[in-house]
Amino acid sequence: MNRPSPVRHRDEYPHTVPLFEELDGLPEDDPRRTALRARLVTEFLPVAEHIAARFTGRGEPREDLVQVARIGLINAIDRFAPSRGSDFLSFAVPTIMGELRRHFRDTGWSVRVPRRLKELHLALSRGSGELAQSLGRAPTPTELAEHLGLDLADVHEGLLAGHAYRPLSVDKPVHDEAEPLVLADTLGEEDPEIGHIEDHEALRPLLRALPPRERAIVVMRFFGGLTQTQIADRVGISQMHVSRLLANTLEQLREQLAGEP
Amino acid sequence: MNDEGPAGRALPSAGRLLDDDAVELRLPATTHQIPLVRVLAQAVAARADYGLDAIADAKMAVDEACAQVVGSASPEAAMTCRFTVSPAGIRFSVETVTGNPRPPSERSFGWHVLTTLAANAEVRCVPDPGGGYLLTLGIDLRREARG
Repeated sequence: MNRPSPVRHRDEYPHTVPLFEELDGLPEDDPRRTALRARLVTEFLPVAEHIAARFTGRGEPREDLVQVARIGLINAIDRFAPSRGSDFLSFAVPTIMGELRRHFRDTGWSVRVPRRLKELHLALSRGSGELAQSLGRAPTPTELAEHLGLDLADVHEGLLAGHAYRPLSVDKPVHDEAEPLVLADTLGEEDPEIGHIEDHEALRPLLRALPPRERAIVVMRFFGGLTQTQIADRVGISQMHVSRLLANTLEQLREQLAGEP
Repeated sequence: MNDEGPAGRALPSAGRLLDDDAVELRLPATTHQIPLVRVLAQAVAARADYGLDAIADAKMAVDEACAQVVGSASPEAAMTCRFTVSPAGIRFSVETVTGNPRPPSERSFGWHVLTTLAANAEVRCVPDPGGGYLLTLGIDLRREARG
């Protein structure tokens, strides 16, 4: 590039510049790419966490936001082209924020829900994560009520409020097709044994077209024999988040298999 | 009443009480209505103190069951959804009228989803005295989520 990159000196991560250049210079199938990529992800994790922190307090569990921000970071690393002359952070920050906004758009409260219910739902999400750790399975409403010192009726109400999270299918956003298929590698996707399904020929391309995380979750649940809590544990998001992603993805697959747009 | 089943499983008339442990919802057999059944499934499973995994599975299973039935339902048909709660768990059934004598395939992806999420899935399609066929799909909503 003959144009100098004037912003680079403001980069707080000067030592990563040669790493990006090295990554950019390696062929797609070079085994060194994986290690370099992992190194870069690790270096920039604090950035993802910092941005995620700016989105807390809006009714989404912090762990989910951090996870979403990390996905944004990985996307940014995979899409960044140092030869274009901009510095990584000025490219990564909007990418990560975009991923977080997309998360809120995908899973955000679709109707107005009183603040008390949002907070209740958040407490339930946190509590169920803690209990799943100690019980090794998803807790029941009774166990949640005891754990959080809440009325059982409030727990029921809070769980129902979680419904408002699901956007209606009519305004379901179109997934970003440019999302790279990198996460599937880190998720240990099982080879789907879908041959016995009669519409598998229609199903396979639809599964392949899913964003990697959604595809991995569907495969783990329906072809890998894992429960939602086990999947949540593997993917590093809450069970409630897995549940929402699964339900949305199934609905999408059902519409597509039925030949609807 | 023309919505009585031939097997003697008559829908209750308005004045008759349901069993203590049964909840019924009757609504148009359209995709648009399925979220209502899902909300009820969530509430019934939570009240039966299912684990959060099992509640989420129950919701998705009910969703899928209704979608299968709605996919075959005659235009303007109603569907009747019934949750029967027992100590063993919740049985869900959904019934509608269809012009198609064949029940939905048990080898579709939807059916695979249904049998992964729920147990003892059963579908039958019998001639309806009122014309057409009566399509009934039943599943056991598992108390313990299973992979």
